Amino acid sequence: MMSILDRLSRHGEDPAPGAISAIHSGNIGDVIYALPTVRALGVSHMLLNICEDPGAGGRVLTEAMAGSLVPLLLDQPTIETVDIVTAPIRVAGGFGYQAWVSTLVSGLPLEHVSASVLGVDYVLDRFRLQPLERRHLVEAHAMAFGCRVDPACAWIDRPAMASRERRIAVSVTSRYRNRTNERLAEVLENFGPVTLVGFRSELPNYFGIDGELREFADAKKLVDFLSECTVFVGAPSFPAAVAEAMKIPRLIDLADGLINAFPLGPNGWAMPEDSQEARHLLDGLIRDGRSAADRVKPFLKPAVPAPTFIPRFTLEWQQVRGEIVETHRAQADAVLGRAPTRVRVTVPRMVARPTGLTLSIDARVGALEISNLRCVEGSTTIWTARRAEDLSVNNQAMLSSPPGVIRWLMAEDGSGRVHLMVPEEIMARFRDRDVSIVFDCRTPREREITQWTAREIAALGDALSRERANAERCRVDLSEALHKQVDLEHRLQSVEGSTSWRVTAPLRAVIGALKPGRGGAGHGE
Amino acid sequence: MSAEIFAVHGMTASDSGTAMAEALIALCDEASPSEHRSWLLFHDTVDNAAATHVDKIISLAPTVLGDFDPGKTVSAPLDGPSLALFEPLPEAPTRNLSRVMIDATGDEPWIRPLVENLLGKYTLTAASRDPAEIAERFRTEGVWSPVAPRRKEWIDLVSRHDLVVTGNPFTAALANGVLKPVLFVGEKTVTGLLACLAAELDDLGGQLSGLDMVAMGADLLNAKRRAHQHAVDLVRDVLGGAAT
Repeated sequence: MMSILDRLSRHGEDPAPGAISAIHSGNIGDVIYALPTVRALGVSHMLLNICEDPGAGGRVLTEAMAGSLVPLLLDQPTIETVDIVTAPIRVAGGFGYQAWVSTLVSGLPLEHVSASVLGVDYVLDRFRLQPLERRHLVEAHAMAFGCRVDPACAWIDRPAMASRERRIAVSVTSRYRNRTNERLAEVLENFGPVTLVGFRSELPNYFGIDGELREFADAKKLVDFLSECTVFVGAPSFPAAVAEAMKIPRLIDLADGLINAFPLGPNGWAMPEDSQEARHLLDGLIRDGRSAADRVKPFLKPAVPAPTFIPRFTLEWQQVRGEIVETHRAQADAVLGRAPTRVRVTVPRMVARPTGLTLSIDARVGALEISNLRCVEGSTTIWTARRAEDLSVNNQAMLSSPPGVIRWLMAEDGSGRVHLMVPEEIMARFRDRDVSIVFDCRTPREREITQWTAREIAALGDALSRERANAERCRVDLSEALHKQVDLEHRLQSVEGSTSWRVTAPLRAVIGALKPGRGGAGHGE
Repeated sequence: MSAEIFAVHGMTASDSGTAMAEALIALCDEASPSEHRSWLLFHDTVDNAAATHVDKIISLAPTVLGDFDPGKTVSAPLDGPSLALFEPLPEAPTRNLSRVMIDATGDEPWIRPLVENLLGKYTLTAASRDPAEIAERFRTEGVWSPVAPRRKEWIDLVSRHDLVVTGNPFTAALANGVLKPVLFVGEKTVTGLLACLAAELDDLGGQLSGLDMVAMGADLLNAKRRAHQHAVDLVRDVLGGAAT
């Protein structure tokens, strides 16, 4: 078959005549989810297309990534050959030179390219044309080619284990997240050694989670490692895809939005939202995979009362010790509802004067209101936020409110930060006294949020109208001034061009010369 | 290994009967895997000639077994919606509440007030399985009113929504089976559902806004995995206890 693809390298045997071939452009986790379909289609010749879409975002398969997949792919029962290829396809923005130098996408998309043009039997990228918002990636691949697969069965064999010691493998990426690292660390706390699976460049993804980072040269080595782990914990990622393929005990924090990589079949569980429940389930998975089933809720019968939320309030501040700036935190939980709830964050005694008090709130609500915020020492209030500038939110969605009250629309990820402008003399008292931050917090009704937002929009509209009116006034004034200037210049030119002006020129010269102060010049002429 | 023939008996020739049979077959194959097994479905009519070749009969209706050999007959340990939950269908977990499907099959008195209550708050679909009755009823309100007489279309509709409101226990089981929470609006109570909301219909729109669908999505998935594991254990016990 003729092909437009350029081969960079070949691994395994040369394909036999008539070998069934398929191409995939990643991401690498998607290649793992494609393997049941690859097996069902009898694909023996696998092509990995090197691609990148920095302009569109989300898809990348580098040569190194593809190379790391090769040993695992060649281990699959039907695959005998793996080629790493490139497709001469580029998508650029603009025209001419700009288009030449600004590649938005390279090697993509293949899902709309005919298989015969690529010289393959199947274009696995067509899984992207399936309803990915409601189909597991394994099923999306199978649907694209009308084949039946059973995603509940393992499709990567677990090697025989030399020994299994208690070890938790953890993998998170910056994408497909639900809970923060801090909450994930809560779940993992005190369960034993944690191995963070990833590359050194991914270390920032693990900030706040204690564990030893391990890099794996290829996917097969990752399979060997995971087979020795007691349990896998993490968010959807490449290691999570491998854990899913092996059906090892796993606890997956489902992504907040798009869910097309959730646990299927035995030993797979979704991480409950409540951290205590998640810990209880993880404990069961570590002790004995089967008993984990008895640690989840048998059924849900949620009544839907007026909504309440249990957000976590975290007070953060910095202390300077010598040349080191340390960040400290104190936390409090509270059940929030429509009515204000009193929240008290007790601040431990400090060794140095704190700076930069910030209150972080992690709550999945539309909006929050904080009022009556004060610093309390014992039972004595030593400072109350009364002025508008005492509280601020680093959020564009802050709503107008009376002084001392702050309202804002929460960010989509459920996080919010309020800066407390506590006077220096009050901050100094944090150093050697027991001080608490006390405030009232509530989740406003939808109707209130709508009203406040409407008011904000109206105020912005008024401000915009005022600015427009000012601008118009300035424009008119400027126009008038220009007119006057032109008029004056015109009149001046008329005067200077008149006969009387020219005739009287000598007279004006004499008068000028006779004026006091200019006489010398005049006499000298 | 010699070939085996198993049969499911006693389900009605309907979509709900099909759902139960499919679920039972999947559970049996998981509880006692065999590559050499084939399945027969016997509905209400007993085919004694065919039954003579059957190694095991799993019955959903023991009282109408007729002349079947009692030695190779076992009763299904689950029945009705609680069995239909395990029909092998692609799952589609819910993570937010945006699209609500109302099962508008039949002219139930709660349907129109519910549509009016939820209108403008969520993207609504008032779907029916009966081609004779729907279509124009909600067109004026701008509510999408598809008709899905075939089961495949109905399953697809359920999969595309975040919450299903229904008075049909099998639609409720189907929704829970594909990991959608359900608001069951029936005169009778239904047992075996995994995520069934309790809410007053009068102010459903306001109340639904308080649901934490992120938490519910994970809990529903886990509840189904737990129920599935128990169902497989039950079926394994039953299959192990029957003579072949």
